[in-house]
Amino acid sequence: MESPTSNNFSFPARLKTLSFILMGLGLAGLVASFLLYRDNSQRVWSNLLISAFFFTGISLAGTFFLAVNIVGESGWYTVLRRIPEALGKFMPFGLVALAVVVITGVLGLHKTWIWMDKEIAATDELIQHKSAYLNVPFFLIRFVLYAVIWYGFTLIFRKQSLQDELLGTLDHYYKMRKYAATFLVLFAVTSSTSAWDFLMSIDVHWFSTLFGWYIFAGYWVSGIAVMLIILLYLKSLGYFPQVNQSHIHDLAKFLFAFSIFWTYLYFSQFMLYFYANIPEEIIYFMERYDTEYRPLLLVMVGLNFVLPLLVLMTRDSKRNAQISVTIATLVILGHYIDLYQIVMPGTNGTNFGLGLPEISCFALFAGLFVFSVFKGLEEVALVPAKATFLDESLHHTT
Amino acid sequence: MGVGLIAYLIGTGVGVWGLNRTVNWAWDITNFVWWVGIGHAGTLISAILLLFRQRWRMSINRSAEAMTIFAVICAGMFPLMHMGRIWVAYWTLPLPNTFGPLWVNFNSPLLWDVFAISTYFSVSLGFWYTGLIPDFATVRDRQTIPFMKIIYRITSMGWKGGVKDWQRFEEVSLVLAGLSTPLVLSVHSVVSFDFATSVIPGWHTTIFPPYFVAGAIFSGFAMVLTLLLVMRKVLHLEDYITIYHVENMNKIIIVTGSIVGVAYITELFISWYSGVMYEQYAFINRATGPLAWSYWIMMSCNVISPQLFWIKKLRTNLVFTFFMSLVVNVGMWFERFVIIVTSLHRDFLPSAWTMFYPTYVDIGIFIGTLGIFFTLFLLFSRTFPVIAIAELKSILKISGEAQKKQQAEKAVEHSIH
Repeated sequence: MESPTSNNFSFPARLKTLSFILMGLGLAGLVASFLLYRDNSQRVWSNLLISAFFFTGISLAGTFFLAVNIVGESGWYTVLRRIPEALGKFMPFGLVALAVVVITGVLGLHKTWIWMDKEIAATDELIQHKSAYLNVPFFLIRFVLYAVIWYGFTLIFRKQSLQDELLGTLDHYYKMRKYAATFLVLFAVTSSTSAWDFLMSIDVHWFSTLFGWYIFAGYWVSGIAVMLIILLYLKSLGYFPQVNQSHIHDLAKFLFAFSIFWTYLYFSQFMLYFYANIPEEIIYFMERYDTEYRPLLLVMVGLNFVLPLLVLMTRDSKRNAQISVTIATLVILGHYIDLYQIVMPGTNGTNFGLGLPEISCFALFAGLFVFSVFKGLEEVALVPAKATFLDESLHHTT
Repeated sequence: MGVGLIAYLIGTGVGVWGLNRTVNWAWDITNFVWWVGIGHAGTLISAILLLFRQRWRMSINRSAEAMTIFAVICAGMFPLMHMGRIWVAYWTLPLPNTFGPLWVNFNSPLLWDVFAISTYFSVSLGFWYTGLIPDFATVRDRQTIPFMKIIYRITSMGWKGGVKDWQRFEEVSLVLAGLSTPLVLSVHSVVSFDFATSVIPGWHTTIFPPYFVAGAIFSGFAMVLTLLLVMRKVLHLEDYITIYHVENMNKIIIVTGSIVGVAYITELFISWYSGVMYEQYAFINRATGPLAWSYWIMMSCNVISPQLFWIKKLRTNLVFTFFMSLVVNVGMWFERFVIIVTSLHRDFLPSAWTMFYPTYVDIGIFIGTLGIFFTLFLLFSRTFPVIAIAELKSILKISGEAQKKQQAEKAVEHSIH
């Protein structure tokens, strides 16, 4: 990688073209899916929700990553902080897409959240019981709150980060730390409630206290995997000469550790319901294990747990770019499948498969994501010239 | 007193506790969980903070690890006592035996506890002792009393301080840190399974494993603060355990306390959301029933009062910190009491509802374990190096206050010349 390196990223033409192709094909595929699945448009809507939530989650993981590192007074990530900042550039698109799914749901175009349907609610005692929380106005208010809090803080962190590079003073850092701590408090609440709203309320009779943390762990791991891939990709192009093996090793350690953390939460939720075997609770897993979803479930656990556990265990594999990128890609795929098996059984029963709606939704959002994130990377210099803790980050060794 | 009452308990039977048919688990398991939880901070400081490269852990890890071991000893006594027939305690181990095809019940989380706790105890002990070896050698080299020299010679296992010694030491430390990280998380998860695998309202909830772990770290740090603030004063360790350390521990208390708070509220919300009659009642009963006072002690001690640590003045105030550490310890004891007793005493059948009153044996044994714990800790601080000397040396140049001052003086001198 001895190519002349620049601190200003320019979006490679091939990647840009690829993102346009993905968006174009995805959009065309989406329109075609709506025409093809006229009688069963629910499958398309469900896929829209899955993709929109998945990529918004990754974007949110970037903001969370920044907040945690600022609060934790950590320095090592400073050199690569443009990447989590750039993830936030996708967030408005993701939020708009989620808004589209929510509004069409409210209008009754699809039945992703059956509790929104007045006829069903009228005959369902449990939905009536839950209606103090699960009602359309309150749901919309919550959605607006999430959007404002998540995107608002994403913008604040970006702005503060750019200011930090002009000032580079500790006083400014303390100010950033206040914002970060505030975000973390709000995020502690919204991460759980948003998971209940968008995903848990699909299976409206079912409930689990751990659900919010489990969903959070999923997009947090995916976010780390995406950051790792972007970092290694930019490095392979010759950018980020300041990023050394230790930075990559640290991100890969996170990928390893939080894959296990995700498994811990998934297992805790599953095992406790499996063990107690209460019909209202275990039905959730029976719908996913005793049906055609079983292969998906098993593949998902393999990709999200077994693979990173075995492959990323050693120091050498975490420091090897090819291995790390391969595992990160597979982990992202695994968490997409995870989200798929969360949403589909409750909305579509066993009517699923790998068809046009699946591929086109993923392509559309992946294209949009790549485009917005890399466009965001172009905006400012990759490595800040002056920032608190930059020096620590440049001399990072483990 | 504790020993006497334990003897009385074992001689007479578990009937001397305040248990009854409905409340068949109370102070015994409350104390067990409380002690195990306290143990967690030591491992967190030594293993997880090591992995997160937090250097400030080095001046507190020795005592915290000692505390872990003593707390786990206290915890382990309760299941043994609860067996009633302590002489058959080895039946909990899956040993091939002469009783016919009789095996332990591998399906029971109580058995998982046996494995989890005993593994945790041995690894913690190994970790702690490994760290002590070079320090024992230092003590040995400075010892003038021949008898004590022999003792420290044995305990330091022939440590010479050569390169090979250090290399092996580092390797073992890393492996043990890697082992104890999943262990510390698994231990309290398994403890939570004791409750959560059941179908008792208020126990059976999926958030239990991570929430118990957070609660354990929370209570453990409170106990570390209680012990260290006293030790710092008595042994004049103000230069080693600074306000900075105290503040960092208080920050961990805010974080874990808030996680526990979020978990309480999540449980409360989902119990309503679930629409399950029994779950709802379990929580109404907790907050308004005859034991509501314990619920509100728990809430105020664990969730509300730690929020005061957001104020920098308070979290750097030693007297306030000491007071808060006691408050958190009390709160976490009541958390377990609330979970265990309020869920049991009014179960599915109103005709079987009872109240729970501890007997003097319950109280005495609990106080007895406190005594054992503090005695062990005092013995430790009397004879062992309470601060990891060897480890601290490695960061003295970067973080030591005296060193910093010296360097600053040097810099001034340079600028003058």
